[in-house]
Amino acid sequence: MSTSPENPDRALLAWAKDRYPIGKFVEWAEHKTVPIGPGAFWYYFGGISLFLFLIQVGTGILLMFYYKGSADTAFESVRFISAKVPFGWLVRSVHAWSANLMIFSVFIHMFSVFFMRAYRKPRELTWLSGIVLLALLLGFGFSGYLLPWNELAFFATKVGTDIIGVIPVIGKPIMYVLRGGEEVTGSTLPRFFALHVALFPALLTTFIVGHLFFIQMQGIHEPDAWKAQPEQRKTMPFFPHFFMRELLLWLITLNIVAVLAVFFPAELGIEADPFSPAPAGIKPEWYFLSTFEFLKYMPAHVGPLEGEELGLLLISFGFLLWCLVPWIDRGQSRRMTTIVMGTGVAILIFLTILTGIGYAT
Amino acid sequence: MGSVVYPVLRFLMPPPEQEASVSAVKATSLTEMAPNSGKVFKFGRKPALIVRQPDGTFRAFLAKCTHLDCVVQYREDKERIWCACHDGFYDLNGTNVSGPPPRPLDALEVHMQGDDVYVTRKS
Amino acid sequence: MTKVFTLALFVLGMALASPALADDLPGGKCLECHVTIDDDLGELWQDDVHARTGIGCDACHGGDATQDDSDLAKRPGTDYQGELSPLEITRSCGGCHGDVEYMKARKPLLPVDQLDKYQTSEHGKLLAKGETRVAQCASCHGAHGVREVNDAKSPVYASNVPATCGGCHGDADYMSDFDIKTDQYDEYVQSVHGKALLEKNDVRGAPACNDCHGNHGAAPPSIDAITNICGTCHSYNAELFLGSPLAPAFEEKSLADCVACHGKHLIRHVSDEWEGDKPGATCRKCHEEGEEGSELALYFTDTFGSVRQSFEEIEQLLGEAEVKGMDVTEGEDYVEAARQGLMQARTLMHSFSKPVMEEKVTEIAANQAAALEVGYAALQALEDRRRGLAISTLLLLLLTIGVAIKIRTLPPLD
Repeated sequence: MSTSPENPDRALLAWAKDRYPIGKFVEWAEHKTVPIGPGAFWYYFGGISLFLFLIQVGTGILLMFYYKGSADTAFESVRFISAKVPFGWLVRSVHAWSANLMIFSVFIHMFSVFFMRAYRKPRELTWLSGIVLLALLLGFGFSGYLLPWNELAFFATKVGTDIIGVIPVIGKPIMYVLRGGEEVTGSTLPRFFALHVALFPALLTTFIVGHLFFIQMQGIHEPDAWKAQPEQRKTMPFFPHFFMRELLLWLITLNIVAVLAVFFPAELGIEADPFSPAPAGIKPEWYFLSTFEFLKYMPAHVGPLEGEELGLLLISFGFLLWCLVPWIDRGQSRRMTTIVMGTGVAILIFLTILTGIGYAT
Repeated sequence: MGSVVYPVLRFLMPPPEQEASVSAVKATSLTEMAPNSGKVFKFGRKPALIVRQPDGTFRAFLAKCTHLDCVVQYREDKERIWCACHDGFYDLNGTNVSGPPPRPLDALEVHMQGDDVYVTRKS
Repeated sequence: MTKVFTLALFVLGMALASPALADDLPGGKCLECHVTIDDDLGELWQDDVHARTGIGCDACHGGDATQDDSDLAKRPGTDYQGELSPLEITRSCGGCHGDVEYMKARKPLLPVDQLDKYQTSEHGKLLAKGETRVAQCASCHGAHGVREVNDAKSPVYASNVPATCGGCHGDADYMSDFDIKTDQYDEYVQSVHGKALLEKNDVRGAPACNDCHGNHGAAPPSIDAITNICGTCHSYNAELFLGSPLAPAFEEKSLADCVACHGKHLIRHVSDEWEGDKPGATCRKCHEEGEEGSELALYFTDTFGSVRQSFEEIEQLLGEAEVKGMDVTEGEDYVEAARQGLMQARTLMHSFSKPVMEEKVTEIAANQAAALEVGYAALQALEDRRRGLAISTLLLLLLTIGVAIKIRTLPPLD
């Protein structure tokens, strides 16, 4: 092998190049760039979300070494992990915090993409696959929350699946399949577990690969202003500049997760008892709070529809518009762009306020 | 990266108490208990009572009295389970037959494995 | 037209038939008038257990129940009694309820000794002497709305008994001519038994007045009887007491065993007043300072006091650990075991023996120590976690700084 001894990495690369047709790939990687500019900071959040996902997979697999997924044993096994297994408390709390941070990070990522109008042609599929990813993540959060089989989770699941059941026509069958029956019972737990550790991870991995593939093929979106003023164009190489900075943020994120895990460990509460009445103040996790609050404010009946049905309809409609935004704002009408951006700000404020109200009450 | 690798490795090594929740407990053995005798043992976190009946077979229950939660015991002279707190009695089916207890005792299942007597939750 | 007329007649007929509802229950024609004369009668008689078995007004009051004319119904020869006097009530009820053959054919499980017992009671004896203000059958069971004892609305249902007895015995004016206190009801409702029965509704376990005094042969228990009576439920305490050195001493001094220390109606949980050998403390009633008995009292006081203090300490410790996010269920298990031990110790006290108590206390102390151990370990673990975090943070920070430096050394961007 023709290598220089002062750079061992090169030796490995040369070894691989000798055997696999990765030449083109290596060249591409060396030339991949990332735009620099005022909005550049937001570019990191995609990577941070990915990092948090890797943490989730890692801690999730570790938890599976001790978790027992049946209604009789789930709670005790989680308590066992938290109390008896060495660093079990850490793995569990990191898993719980990382989940919350990941969803938060994904929201930041999505809204930053929105406000930079990176959804426009040719990146429509990237946008759509991203939304699918968000939906999957919410599914992860919902299914994972039940797994400790504690009182709070049990009732939150009951309320959550009740809301799903309100969807006209398909709502009840979906609820039935999710619950494994009429009510949330010991049959619900294995289903949620299967979703959480098998189905959702498989789907998520597929869509992440798709999402990243689209991005790599098309390159990172450049700010609109550059079209008018090409002299402003400034980029940095992905390897090593952007990557190193991303790594820095990853390390800081890891530290933040660790601090949160130590100072705010995940709670367990008491075991779920299907026969006891619901305790006061049942709330879903924060990422569902805005939906929850919104439905609470619906009047009991509006015309032929029940209040909750109307609420879900409105939410679904809003969601659909959000998905279709690449086709609504194609960059051809200034007015349309302004309207869409304004709506985005309004939605962000609306969601934040509703979440805040949900927390306060 | 030691701060990640070390905790992970320690996590994977199981702690001395291997089981999370209790599904089966070895309560006693044929040689340990004579007929018409009882023994209080720990079933997971809860106190339990195993009784070897005069005919040699075993019955097991959670040992918390259904009146005010005192731990019950076996009375050979009465061939009944007795709660010393307020003189409550249960028969060997666990049914509350005398005194304050309002409900029967919670029964557990008994399985024999050779000479060993195992107690599990009711399925 | 005819249809409307028939309908009107039908409605009128139904309206007039309402007094005839009285005919559905036995009583015969008596009820037709007496339902309107006596306010509650109709309502009471609906629920009466005798009415349901077909026993009518004439069974107790005599008279001719087939006559709806008052004079005819009550004419001589019909054995009409009218309102019964207290003594007549006992004879009337006892006439059937004391007849073995009669009751065997109707309700074989009911005892038939109520009247016999009643005549041995204070109520019965006074009534025989002509005192009519005492309780007789109807005072407690009612006359016309008699319900079964296990009917929750019956005045003699377990949780209603204290109020029924207390109706007279708690009324100072009513009892003013009798040489008997009237504070029993007030004391009872504050006692552990009263609270168990009336607040927690423990009808199977908690005693009402009749469980200690008897039902029909109601009398205050004699001094000799007290241990047996309390021992009906508290059998182990009674057994220990009878085997203790106190029992013969109490008998010699004619002290009322359990009642001498625990009181009769105002039986409460042990409080600080019982403690030690200061004047006013329970043991001090008989034992002088420095005596063997007093020494034992002090030992008990100190022992229970330190056990209680340990519980407080444990609760605080475990609470602190729990609030900070640590799992302390194992500690709670030890606390539970210690509490069981304490309950047993309180019972064992009745043997008034130091060695017996020492054995139990050692057991309690072991459990409490284990609970404290769990608490301290939890708090220690918290410290360890924080320390571990500090170390990892330091390492990560070093790595982060390393990466930052590396970034600085990268070729500049253009």
